[in-house]
Amino acid sequence: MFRKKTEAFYFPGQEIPLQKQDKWRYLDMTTRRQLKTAAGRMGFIACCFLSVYALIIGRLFYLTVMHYEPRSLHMETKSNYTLARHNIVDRKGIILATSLPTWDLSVDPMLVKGDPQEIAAKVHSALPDIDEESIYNKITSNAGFKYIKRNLTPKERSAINWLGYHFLAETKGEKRVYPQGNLVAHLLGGVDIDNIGIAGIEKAYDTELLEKDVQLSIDTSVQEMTRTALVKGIEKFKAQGGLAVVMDIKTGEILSSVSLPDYNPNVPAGKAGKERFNQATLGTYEFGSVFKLFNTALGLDSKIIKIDDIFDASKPLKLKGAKAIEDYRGQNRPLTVTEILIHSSNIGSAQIGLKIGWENQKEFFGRFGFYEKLPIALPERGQPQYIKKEKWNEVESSRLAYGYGISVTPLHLIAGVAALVNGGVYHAPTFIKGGNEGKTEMRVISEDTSKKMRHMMWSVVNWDLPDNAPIAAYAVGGKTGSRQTLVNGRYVEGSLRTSFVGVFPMTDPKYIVLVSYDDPKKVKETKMFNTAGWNAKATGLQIIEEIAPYFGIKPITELKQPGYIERALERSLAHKKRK
Amino acid sequence: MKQRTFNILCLMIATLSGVGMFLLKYHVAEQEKKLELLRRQIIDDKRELHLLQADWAVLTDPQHMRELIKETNLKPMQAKQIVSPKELENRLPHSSGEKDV
Repeated sequence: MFRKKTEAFYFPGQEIPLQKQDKWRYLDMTTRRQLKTAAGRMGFIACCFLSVYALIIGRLFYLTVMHYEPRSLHMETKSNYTLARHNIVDRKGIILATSLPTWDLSVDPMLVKGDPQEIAAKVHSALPDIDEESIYNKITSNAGFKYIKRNLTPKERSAINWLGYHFLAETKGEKRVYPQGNLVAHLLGGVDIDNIGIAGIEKAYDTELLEKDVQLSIDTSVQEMTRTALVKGIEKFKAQGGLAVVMDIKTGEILSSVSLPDYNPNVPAGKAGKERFNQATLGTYEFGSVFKLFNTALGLDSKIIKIDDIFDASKPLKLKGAKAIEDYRGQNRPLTVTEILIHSSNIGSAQIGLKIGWENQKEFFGRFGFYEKLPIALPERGQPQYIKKEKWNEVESSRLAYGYGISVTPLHLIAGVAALVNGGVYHAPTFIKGGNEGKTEMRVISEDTSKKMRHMMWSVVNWDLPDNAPIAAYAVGGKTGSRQTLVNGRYVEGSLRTSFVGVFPMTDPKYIVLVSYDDPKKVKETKMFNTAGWNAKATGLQIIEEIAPYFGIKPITELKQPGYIERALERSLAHKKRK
Repeated sequence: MKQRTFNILCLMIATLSGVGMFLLKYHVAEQEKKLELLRRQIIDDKRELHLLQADWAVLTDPQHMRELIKETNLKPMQAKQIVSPKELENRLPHSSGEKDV
């Protein structure tokens, strides 16, 4: 197939092929030159064509092989619907904050053609809430770009489109909405016009929210029950405000955190008022008698006092260089440690405090983090206030014993009391579901002390509670506290901050509730008293009564059986229930 | 003759490959277009779903529900409404010892 074809030859030398130049041997010189020139030109043209082809082939190779890009038919190739800012959801996945796609309307004043007055009037008719003059100013300004309105509603967008102005541009935007309104307002915080977190969880998790949803430990249903009870309470007791917190005692997860007055986060923020202040995390208060729990726990844990020790509370306690310590509606008799808690005796507690000593107190409060801001992610964290540690002495020690001279946030308090009853392990409060998982546990008191605390706190709530009261079946334990309110560094006569911290069920503590009122008044319903037992405790028990069935906690009917609670609390230190 | 056959064959293969590739390319383009439309539909559906979820959150807001419930006789469950099976036993008609035969 590829054999070379040979031709016949007739005389010697014919078979020898002539060299290229030999072909022109018989041509004259002029012809030769012309032919050579022609051949050169032909070669040059061929080279040009070849190089063009080579270029095309090279480019094609580069585009199709070396630099291949899959074809895209449309501008939008994203396969996922994603918003720039993700949702904040509650522990059950209910949306607390979300972003809705909207459109922002802007104008390029350089492109505006026509009578600005007329244009402004027409745009105003489409957007009645925007002042006509402000529209006029924007379209006649010298800037290259001006927003006319952010977050158009579909109706407004349609009206603007009907106007057909080419210089009005719509850009996709997002609007942050809070479907639950006031319910979780303080905790969620808010965003600015550019969707950047400025307060609360929105600020704390600003970066995370750009990547994924944030799930809080809050339970919307519990939050609503707590808020409703508190709203009613504030109305009934004519209080200035109030707060309520519910925490899971074993994990430190906050299930509800309400601070009243509150606000609707969907309404643009005006002047920052009282309603914007998150009392539950930012406010620091002297909780008064609730602190007796810590004092007692310290005494028992350090074995300085025993539960059956008796302290004389028959007369006011006088200390050198200090006002005499008195009891509010005192018993005027010697009291056991449990009785000191039941009757909230300042005299008894002060004596315990003196016995323990301020050095021990100083160290003990430190275990509960009472000197530092809480390690929560929120930007609104209150710094506890207390007497300078160098100034602590006997007098201060006796005052600290009944909760004077130290202000902490409600979250500090609730986490501290939780540790007293959950077996002695401190969990820092968290607003994130599973936020404390994997964290090392911190023991603050022994299990035995915790057991004693449970029993004493149960006695405090139940000693005057009728057996047939439905709430008695939840074995609630707790402590109340009333303290004069501090305004601009001065205590206000007759104005109280009343608090109640309740734990249930004491036989196996699961949840802890804190209720606190700011300046509740003496009203007829409370027989003209305004201390915690009449208001904060009532609301606290009401909240427990409502949320306990929600959590599926069964009433303990056996509690009525004599000795049941003692057995349940695994104790031999029963305090005789006094009526 | 043989060389010519071979050349024709090569030419036919090249032509067929060209036509085949052309058809395949357009088929792929068609499929891509369908895929893109599906993707867009998914995005639209997800957007719709997201709006519905937000709507649902507004409609099931517990505060709103509490207002609605005022129209009915429903009330939150209370502690006294929960009884243990033992207590229930006492309330049953057979608890007096009588037996159905």
